[in-house]
Amino acid sequence: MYTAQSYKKPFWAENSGFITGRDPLGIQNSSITTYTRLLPGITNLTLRIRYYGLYSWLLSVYSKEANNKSDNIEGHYNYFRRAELIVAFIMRKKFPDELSIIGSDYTDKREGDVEKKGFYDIRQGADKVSNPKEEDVYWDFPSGALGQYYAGSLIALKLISISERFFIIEPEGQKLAEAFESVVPEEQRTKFLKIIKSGVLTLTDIDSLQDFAINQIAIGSPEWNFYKSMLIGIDGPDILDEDGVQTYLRKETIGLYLEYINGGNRKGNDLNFIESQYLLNVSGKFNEASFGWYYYYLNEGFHFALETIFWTLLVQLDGTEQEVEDFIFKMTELVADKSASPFGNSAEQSIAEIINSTEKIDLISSQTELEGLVKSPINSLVAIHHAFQLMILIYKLTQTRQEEIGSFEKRYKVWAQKGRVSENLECYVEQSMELQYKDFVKETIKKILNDHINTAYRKMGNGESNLLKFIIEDSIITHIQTMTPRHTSPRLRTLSNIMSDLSFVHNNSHLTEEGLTLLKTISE
Amino acid sequence: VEEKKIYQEVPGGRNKFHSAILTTFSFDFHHFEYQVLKTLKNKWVINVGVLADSDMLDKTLGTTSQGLRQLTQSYSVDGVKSKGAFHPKINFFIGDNELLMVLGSGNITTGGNGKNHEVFTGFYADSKESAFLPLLIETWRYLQDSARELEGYSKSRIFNIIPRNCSLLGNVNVKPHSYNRVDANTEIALLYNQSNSLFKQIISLIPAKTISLITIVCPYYDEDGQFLLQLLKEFPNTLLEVYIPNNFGLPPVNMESNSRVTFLSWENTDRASAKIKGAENFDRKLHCKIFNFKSTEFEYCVIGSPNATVAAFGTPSKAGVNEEFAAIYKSKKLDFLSNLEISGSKQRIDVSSYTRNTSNAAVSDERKRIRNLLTILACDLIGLTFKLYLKESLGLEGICLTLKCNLTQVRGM
Repeated sequence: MYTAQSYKKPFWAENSGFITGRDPLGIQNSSITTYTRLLPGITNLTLRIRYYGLYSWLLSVYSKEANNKSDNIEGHYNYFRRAELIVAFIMRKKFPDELSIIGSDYTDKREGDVEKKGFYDIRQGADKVSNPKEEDVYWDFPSGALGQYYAGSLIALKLISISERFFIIEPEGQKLAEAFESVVPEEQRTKFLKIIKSGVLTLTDIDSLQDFAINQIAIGSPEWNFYKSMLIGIDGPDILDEDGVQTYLRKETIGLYLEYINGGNRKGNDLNFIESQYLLNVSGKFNEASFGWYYYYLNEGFHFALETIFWTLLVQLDGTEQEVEDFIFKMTELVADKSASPFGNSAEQSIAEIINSTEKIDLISSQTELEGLVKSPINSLVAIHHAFQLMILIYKLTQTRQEEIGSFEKRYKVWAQKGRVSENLECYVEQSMELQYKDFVKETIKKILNDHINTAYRKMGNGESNLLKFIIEDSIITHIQTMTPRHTSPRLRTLSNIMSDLSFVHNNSHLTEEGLTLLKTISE
Repeated sequence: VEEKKIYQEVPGGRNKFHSAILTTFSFDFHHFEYQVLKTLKNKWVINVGVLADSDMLDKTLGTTSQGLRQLTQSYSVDGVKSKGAFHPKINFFIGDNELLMVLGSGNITTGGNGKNHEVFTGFYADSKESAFLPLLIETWRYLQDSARELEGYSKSRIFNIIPRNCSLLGNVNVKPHSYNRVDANTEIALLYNQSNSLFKQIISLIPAKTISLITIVCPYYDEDGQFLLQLLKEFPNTLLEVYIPNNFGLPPVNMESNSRVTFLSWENTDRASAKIKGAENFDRKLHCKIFNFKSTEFEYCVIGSPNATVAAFGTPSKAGVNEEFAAIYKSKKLDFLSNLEISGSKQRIDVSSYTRNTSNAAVSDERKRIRNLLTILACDLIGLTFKLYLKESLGLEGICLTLKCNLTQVRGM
C-alpha cells in the first residue's frame, strides 16, 4: 500500500500479464446451452458410461460402511481416487487399447512398478492429500475424475448429490448401484474394497477383478438395462421446458443418431450428423431434437462467421501498429471492395437489396468452404468475405423461420444466452437493412472489436490477467495473439462411445441387433 | 526491482479515500470500468472523475466505447482541450483527512497500467503537518486550473464538492515550482505549464554547471533532437546518455551527431528484459519518461508525463504547447537509475538508422488538434432532467441532437 514513504522509490507499474482463453467474442454459451439441452446427463468428458455405475456402487457401499459425518473429506475423496486408480490398472493390464480411461497416462508410466515392488502402490499413486507432488499422483483434482468430470452428470440425472462437499447416493443412484452389484461377483467386490483400504494391488488381484473393467457391460444385464432406460427416459427430473413439462430430447437425439448410423452414414463424425439434421429441417421441423440440431448448426454457422471476421482482423493486425480508425477504415475498404465481394455487390448497395438479390445457396457448402479457408492465414482476406456472405446467407435462409427459432429458444431457455442466432441475426443483419454494405461492414467490425474487449474484461472477473487479443493504446491498435475460429464440441463423441459401450453400435459403422431394437423402441 | 499495481496499492476502507480525480492523455473505457473502477470501488473510492485529452476522447467515443455499464452512474469523463496535448498522468485521491497522488507516465489504459514500461511515484499526506501537503495542494490547484472550462457536475465536483469534504484542501501557502523538503536528504518540486515553460522551471531548479551527466529514458523525441540540443546548450558541462527503444516511438533520427551525446539501446537495459506473462512475443513498450541529472553532490530526477520534446518542455523563453505534469527530485542519497534497473551493459546505437514510427505520430506531440464545429462541454442526467452544455452558440442551423441509448445503459432519454 502507498504510505508516506512511497516517494522514496519511484516504481514500475506492475501487470499480471496475459492468459489464453476460448470464445473471444463471448458467444459460445448459446451453443453450449443448446447441446446441453439436446444431450443432458452426459458431457464431453464423461466418455465411458460404466463409470456411472461404478461410482454409484462405490458411493452406495461408502454410505453403508462409513459414517460420512465422522469421516474427513480427504478420506472420502481418497476412497474414490483409489478406486479410479485400481480400475485404471485393471484396464491397463487387461484392455490396454481402450480409450478414455481415467488415470491411463499414470498407469502407462507406472506399469513397470509391479516388477520392482511386487505390487502397484495405490495409496501412493492416488492419495492426494498425503502426496504433495502433483506429478506423482494419477489425478490432480482433489476429488478425482468423479468430482471434476462425472459428478455434474450424475447429479443432473439425480443419481448422486453433494452435501458439505461429500458425495451422497440418491435413490435412483442406489438402483444403479444394485444393478452394478448384481453383475460383479461378491468375491470381486469384496476384494476390490479391500484393495481400496490396503492400497496394494497385485497382478493376481487384477486377474480376479476383470468384472470391474469399464468396457464390460453385459447385454441384457440389469446394469445394461438400467443405462438403456436412463438414456431413453426423461432428460432429467429437473429438466423442464418453459411450460414445466419434462422433455425427452436426449432420447430423440439418440434415435436420430441411431437412424443416422443405420442410414449407412459411415463418415460418422459430429459435423456430418449435425449437417444431416440441418438438411432434415430445411423445409420444416422434423422433430424437437432434430430441430434443436438444426438450430445448433445455424448458431454455430453464425458464430463461425463472426470468429472468422475477428480472426482476419487479428491476422491483418499481426506485426503492425495502426490507428484504430485507420485500421477499421482499411479493413472496411478491403471487404467492401466490389471486385472481391462474393455477392458482386457495390459498397453502396443496401443490405436489404443484397439480401433480396442473394441466391439461396447451399449453407453446408458455404460453411465447409469457410472452414477450409481458415486453415491458413494466407486466406484471411478471402475468408472474411465469405464470413460476411455466410452471415447474410443465414439470414436469408431463416428469414421465414424466425418465429420457429425464437420459439425454440424460448421453450428450451436459450433465449437469455448472448450469441444466440436470433439475437445475432437481429443486431447484425436485421438492424442494418438500410445501411450501405460498406457501413454494414464497418459497424460489424467495430462491434466485433468491442465485443472482444468486453468479453475479455468480463472474463477476467476479479483477476488481472488479461484475455485481450489486441491492445488499444493512444488510439493505436496492437496485436497480441491470433485466435483461429473454432466450433464447440456438442457431446456427440460421448454419445458415440456410450452407444458402443452398450453394444448398440458396432465399430461406429452399423447398428447391432440391440441397436435396431432400441431404434424401434424410440421410434414407436 | 519495485513494481506496484497502481490502483491496488491505494489504501482502502471507510476512513480512507472517498474521491479521485484522474488525468490521462488516452483513455480506455473498458479497462477503466472493469479494472480501475472496480478496484477503486472496493476501496470505497466512489466519487470518480476523469479528465482526458479531448481529441483522444473523441476518437475513443463511438469506436471502442460500446457496451459500457458504469458510465454516467459511477464516474464521469471530461475532455480537456489544450493547445497541444493534454498529457498529464495524475491519480489524485481525496479522503476526509488524507490526500494521495500517484503520478507518472502511464495513461488509464491497459498499457499505461503496466503492460508498458511505465514509471510512477507516490506522495501521501495525512495531516496538515505532512511534508507533502504543499506538493499535493499545488497539484490540486493545477487540477482545478485544468478543470476551469468544465461545466456541470464535473466542474462542481472539483471546485465545490471535493474541497468541502477534505480537511486538507484549505488555504495553504504554496510557492509553485519550488523545492519542498520531504526528508533530510530529499527535496521535491513540481513541473507543469504556467507562465513559464517546464524547461525554464528545470533550469531554475538545477544548477546547470554542476551537472556532468544527463540520462534520458523516453520513447518520443523531436525529429532533429531540438530538446536534446537545448539541454546541451543550457547544461554546458554535461554529457547526455539517451536510451532509445527499437520498433517503437519517435527517435531523433535527424539529429546532427554530437560528441557529448551517446544513444543507447533500451533493449540492453536490465529493465527491458522484464516480460509480460503469457505473451512472450508481446513487445512491451517503453513508455516511461525519466530525466536524470547527475552532479557530484546531488541527483535530480524528473518523473512524469513529458517526453523529450520541445512540445512538452518548451524552451527557456517559450512554453511548450502540451499540458504536462512531472515531479523533480533532488536527492543526495537516492539512486534513481539503479533502483529502476536502468543498468546493464551499455550498447551504443546509431539513432539515424532507427525509424520514426509514423503511426505514433498521431499521438505524439507532432499531431494536429481536431477542430470541432461544435463542442459539447458536459452532459448531466440529474433525475429526469438531461442538461447539455455547449461551448457557445455558433448560429449553425439544422443541427440535430441525437441521443443514443445503446452507448451506455442509460435509457429513456
